[in-house]
Amino acid sequence: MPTELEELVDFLSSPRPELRKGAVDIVQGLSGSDQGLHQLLSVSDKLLKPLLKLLVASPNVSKPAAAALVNLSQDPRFAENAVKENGVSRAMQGLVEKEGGHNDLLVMLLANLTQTEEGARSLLQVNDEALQGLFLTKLIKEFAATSGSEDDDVYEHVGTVLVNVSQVKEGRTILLDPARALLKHVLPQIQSQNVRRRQGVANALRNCCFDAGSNMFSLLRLSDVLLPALLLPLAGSKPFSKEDLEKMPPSLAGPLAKPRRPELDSGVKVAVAEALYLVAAIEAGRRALWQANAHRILQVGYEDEEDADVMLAYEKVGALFVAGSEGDVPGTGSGG
Amino acid sequence: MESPAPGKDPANSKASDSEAANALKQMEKMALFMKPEDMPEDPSQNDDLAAIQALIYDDQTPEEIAENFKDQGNHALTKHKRFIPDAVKFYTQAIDQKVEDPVRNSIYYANRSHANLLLGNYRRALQDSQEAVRLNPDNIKAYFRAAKAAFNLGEYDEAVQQAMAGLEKDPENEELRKWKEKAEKEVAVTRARRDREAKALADSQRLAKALVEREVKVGPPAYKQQRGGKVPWIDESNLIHWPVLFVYGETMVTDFIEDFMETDNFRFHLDDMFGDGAPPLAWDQRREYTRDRVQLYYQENAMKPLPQTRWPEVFLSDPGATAAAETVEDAATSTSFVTHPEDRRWRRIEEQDTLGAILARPGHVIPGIPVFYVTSENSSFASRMSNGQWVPP
Repeated sequence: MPTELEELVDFLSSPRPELRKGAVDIVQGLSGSDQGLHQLLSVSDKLLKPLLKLLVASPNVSKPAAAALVNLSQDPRFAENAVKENGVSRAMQGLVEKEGGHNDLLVMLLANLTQTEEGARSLLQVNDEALQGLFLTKLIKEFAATSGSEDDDVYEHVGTVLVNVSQVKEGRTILLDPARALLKHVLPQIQSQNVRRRQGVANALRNCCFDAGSNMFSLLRLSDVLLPALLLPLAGSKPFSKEDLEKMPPSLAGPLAKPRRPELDSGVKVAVAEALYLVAAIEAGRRALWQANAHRILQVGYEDEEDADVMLAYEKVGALFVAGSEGDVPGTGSGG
Repeated sequence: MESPAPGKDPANSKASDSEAANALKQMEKMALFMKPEDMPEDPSQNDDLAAIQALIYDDQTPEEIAENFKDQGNHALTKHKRFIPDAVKFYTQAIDQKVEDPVRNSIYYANRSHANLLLGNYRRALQDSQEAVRLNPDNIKAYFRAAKAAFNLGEYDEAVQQAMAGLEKDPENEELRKWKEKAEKEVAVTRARRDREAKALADSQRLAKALVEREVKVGPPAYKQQRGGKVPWIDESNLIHWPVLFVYGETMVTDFIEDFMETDNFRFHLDDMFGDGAPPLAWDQRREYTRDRVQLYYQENAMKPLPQTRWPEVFLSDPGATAAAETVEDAATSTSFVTHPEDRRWRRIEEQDTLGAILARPGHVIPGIPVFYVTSENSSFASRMSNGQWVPP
């Protein structure tokens, strides 16, 4: 004798559309409360497949299915199983088809699913030689096409996806691949009005700088977008002198010559400072930063800083420039 | 003299001992009467001699015969060195007796090895001494003959092995210890050299790959003397370090920057060369080449690029090393790489530009190593250069 819950789940696969609609609406409703969620998770084995199937059906059912899945996938085991059942591909399929107008829910679902390594790898399509990185590229394209200043920022959670995929090595490799130039589209979002975007980009950047020792060439190749991402959030709001600006590359001197709003989120600043540290810890990185007048930017930005954690992060990075191996100027000068 | 009949009747031999002894003495005398250099190469070639030997040794055991040959071999070695090949043959004869005792056989092989060593026949000496060791692992002499032979063949690992095996039997043996150390040293030297060569090859392959990735173009080297054999190299972070030449067109004086990283900008190096504390240029009497007035240019389409397969020749650190490198130097003036003067242009370099960005510019062909031309802003030379009135010689 099936329980009410089991019956409900069965209706999700009913041949009658009105039953499916009714069931999925109820499931969505249940997933919104702790108690309901608990109940649903007890039958998660039966629930997963039908919900995923509905995800790519018509909008009147795919939207509630998506909402339910977002809530359910906060449970790690559910997320794990969803990844195994190709949940990532389904979500991307729904996103590309765009029929439901609930891409924000699909992106949130992806953010939850990519929390595990398997989920991240599934999004990166590591096992598919031909299509590897295609999902990621698509997401980044949508992320970059919008700026976050809209009232309704559908793709703001792509930032979280980026943080998740950059935690695995394959993700970093794809993001840093010069041929794809993905970071060129991602990093400018460090200036987005939407703090969630900035946080995502900052933390993804920090992860990408993790292998700075072996990826220095790929990183420095992106200097035009990398240096602003690493330094503008830490530049404070004070104006820079002409002398200071002359020593900077155009990608920094341009924004810093104009009046600007400072970065107020300490999480963003700490993450960016950590990324900067990882780059400056390598001699070639320190040398390149020095030549961009990074140490001066940090000096000025530090003066305005009052958050204890952020101040510590500044000090840690600053110490690297002072303790540069050749004392004053990192790297030897020329012969002649 | 008439040939004595080979093979006396054994039944009669006991009866006529003294007769046989006399006959023996006669035969020995006769053999000795022949001067050693008259002795035929192979005793069996001379039937007489073979007969004599057969007669002399007829009633001896193979062991006694073998020992006799061994003694003859030893004797030969005490004489002039031209008898060493004979010693080899005597020892061979001893071996051919196929005596059962491995200890004796080991001595025969070891002695032959000694003779071969004296002759410089190291391969044979090694084979003989290895056999001697195999037959009698307690034959210490065999070990260091093997070590010596292997060492002379350049087989240092084998030499170490033999010396160590010998030392196991005789740990205090100074000779063996000496050979072991000598050989170990050579093993280390060889290994170090092979490692260096492998690394150099790997590095040059990494460099070639990196250059292709950056889409730079390399042409025949110009300014061969000034570049002083310096070549670009790639570091552990896969960043290229270039030796760079600055040419002051006005006087054709040059400045050499040994280590210009592709990620460095020009301001960094100009600050170093012309900044505070840097001495003025000796020939710059009008003091035009100051920090704020120096300007840098590269020449676009200076020459046609070499095919990638010939880049390694350009980057050989010792251009005189191979004939091929010479061809590349000649290429600098040959017509196949010359571009039309109309196509050559001066391109200004901004101080913020990185070397890598400039090298990757379309139409920039690196003349072996990067060459940049220095002028002073608003100087008369600068206008001559921009008017096309001055071109690099």
